[in-house]
Amino acid sequence: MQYLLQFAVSHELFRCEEVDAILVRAGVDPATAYDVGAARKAFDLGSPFLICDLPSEAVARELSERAILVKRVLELWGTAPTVDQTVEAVKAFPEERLRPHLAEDRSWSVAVAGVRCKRSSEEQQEIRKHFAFLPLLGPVRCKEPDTALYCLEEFAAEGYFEEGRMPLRVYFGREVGQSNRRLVGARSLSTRAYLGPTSMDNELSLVMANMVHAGPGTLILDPFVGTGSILVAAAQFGAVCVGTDIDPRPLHGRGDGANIFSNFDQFGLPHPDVVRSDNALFAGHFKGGIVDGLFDGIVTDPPYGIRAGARRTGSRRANVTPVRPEQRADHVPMTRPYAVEDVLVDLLDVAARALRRGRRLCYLMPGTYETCTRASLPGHPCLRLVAHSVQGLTKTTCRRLVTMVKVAEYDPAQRAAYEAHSRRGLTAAEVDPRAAVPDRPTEEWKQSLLRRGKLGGTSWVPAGDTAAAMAQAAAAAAADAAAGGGEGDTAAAMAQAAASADAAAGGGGEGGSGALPAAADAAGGGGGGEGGSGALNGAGDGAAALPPPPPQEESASADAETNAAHAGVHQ
Amino acid sequence: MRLLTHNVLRCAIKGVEEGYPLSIEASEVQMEESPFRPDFVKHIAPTLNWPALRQAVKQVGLPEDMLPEAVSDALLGDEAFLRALHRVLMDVHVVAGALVCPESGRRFPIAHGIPDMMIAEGECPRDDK
Repeated sequence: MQYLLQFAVSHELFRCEEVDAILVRAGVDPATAYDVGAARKAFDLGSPFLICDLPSEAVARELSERAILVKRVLELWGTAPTVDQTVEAVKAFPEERLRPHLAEDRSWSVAVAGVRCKRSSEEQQEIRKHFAFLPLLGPVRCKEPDTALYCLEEFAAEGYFEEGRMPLRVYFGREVGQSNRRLVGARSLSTRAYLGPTSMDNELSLVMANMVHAGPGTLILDPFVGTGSILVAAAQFGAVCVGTDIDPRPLHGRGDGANIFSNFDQFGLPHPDVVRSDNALFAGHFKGGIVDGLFDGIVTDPPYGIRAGARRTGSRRANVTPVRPEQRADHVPMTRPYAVEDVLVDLLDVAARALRRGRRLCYLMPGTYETCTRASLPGHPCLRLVAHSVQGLTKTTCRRLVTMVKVAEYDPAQRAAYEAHSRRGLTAAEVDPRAAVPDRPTEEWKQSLLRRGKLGGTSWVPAGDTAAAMAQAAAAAAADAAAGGGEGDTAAAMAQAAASADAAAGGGGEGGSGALPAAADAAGGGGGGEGGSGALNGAGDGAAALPPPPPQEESASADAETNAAHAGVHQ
Repeated sequence: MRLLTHNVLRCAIKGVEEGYPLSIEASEVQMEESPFRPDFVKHIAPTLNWPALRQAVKQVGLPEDMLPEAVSDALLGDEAFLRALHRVLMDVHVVAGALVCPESGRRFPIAHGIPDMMIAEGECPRDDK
């Protein structure tokens, strides 16, 4: 069965990886669902859509409700280059699959939305009327209808300002499940009670929790837990969490009582178990190094000495004076610098030991576009690379999200051999065919990264590029500005609509904000992304990116108007 | 610190063979009820060190007979047993006190529910791995 995934405009290079992780968790081979090469190419060209062949609606719902980068999932009833042709395609869709959703007891709505297009409410109504042939027997309801139907138009970025431009593609379908993206804004870092200098942004934390299959009844470890921001995400998926860190400051927190547990309390999540220990001495702190495998996932942002220096137990000096017993209570254990390669070698060793077989490690590492290659990643005989995504940070630096799965049992006697293996770098045999990690930094790969490596919706020009790229970036910036202006226009239009609806319907309506999804789409659709936050770290996550929601009475009245518009489909 | 975590902690200082199980000297213990998840308990039960868990139960002041002397497959189907085990693993929090190594007597303090397992520079094993 065909389903359409619409992605948020955010972390484009993480889309296939997150979808694959969720499919594997649901027991579906991603290769049977979609062609990953074609999908990456389409995303590279700016499309937010992916058509998947899924074995059941339950899997589609799982994708909708778990995937953070997926904005909505539709059961695809028809798709074609124009609205008229899409109508014909929907007419050919098996009637027995439509009927149950359109019965008398099923409330419904038809929303018109688009990518890189903004439609007036009259235009939306025109498009809606094309689908009046559907035997919609139930009552109209904009807020949380039983059957939410969408007509989505996708336009190219080129010719944004031209009159009468045609869509690239039109999709029509029924929404499945409820997107998880509300968690991104509602729990963004700007809402948190307790933050550290390197707290991980909520959207990426949630993606990472998906990469390791965090879920109810799983035990997840973050060995560099810090303020616990990644475990907050894992706990949101129902995981039992354990965090360790050598630095006691983020764990115990500030004098005012805010500490690592504060963010969990804030969202009503169960506390993680926190231990102050040294990842370099993992096998010493934990019984037998947990050779048999205890954890269902390890997810972490290790310290690389960029914003937080890495430390390990011990002294820089060769000869260490033992601590006298009477001094022990006050003694602060010495630490020395922890080289980045050692951090990673130890992390892979911990994962190979402490993970259950078939479970995953997901970690972040910084890099430059030139060094985003296979050989620059550490390997381990017990681990296999399943996913590799790159997020652009600046025009030269980026951040890589690496996911590995434990494929073989750990043998403690092999520890020295494992370490030597890790230091040699990952070999082609240790990489899953779907993982996007190049052998060499090819120009094509780099250009693709640069194109997609956007920062919160702002396009930037790579160094030394041509005037053409500059012009393109300027055009994109103009489109961004147009989209920004569009939001204001939409708000004004909605206020106007509210006023007229008030006059017509006497206020009423079912309450809530049924008209908002379509309106928000239209507002954010132009050029700069659909209001997704996409911010990198801490500041700017959430607050700046989203337009403020309209006041309640406005949306309720707009709702009434849209209800009236929907009812008009049948007049 | 939950008893789930206590069950896997050991003393890392050099010269210690087992360093396990650590004795709990609790000065503050909190009981916090959490939603019962039978699947998680069944999932984790085979990895537990049972004698260490029974010792911990006693040391935090819970009735010794809360858990049977050994765990069996038959017990994993018994809801009353799973509830008791869930309570022991997930709901008992040692907020303050210390963990003591049975071999060396080394003490690891617990504050805010966070055990400090750090060892001094002179206690590091030779290869520091």
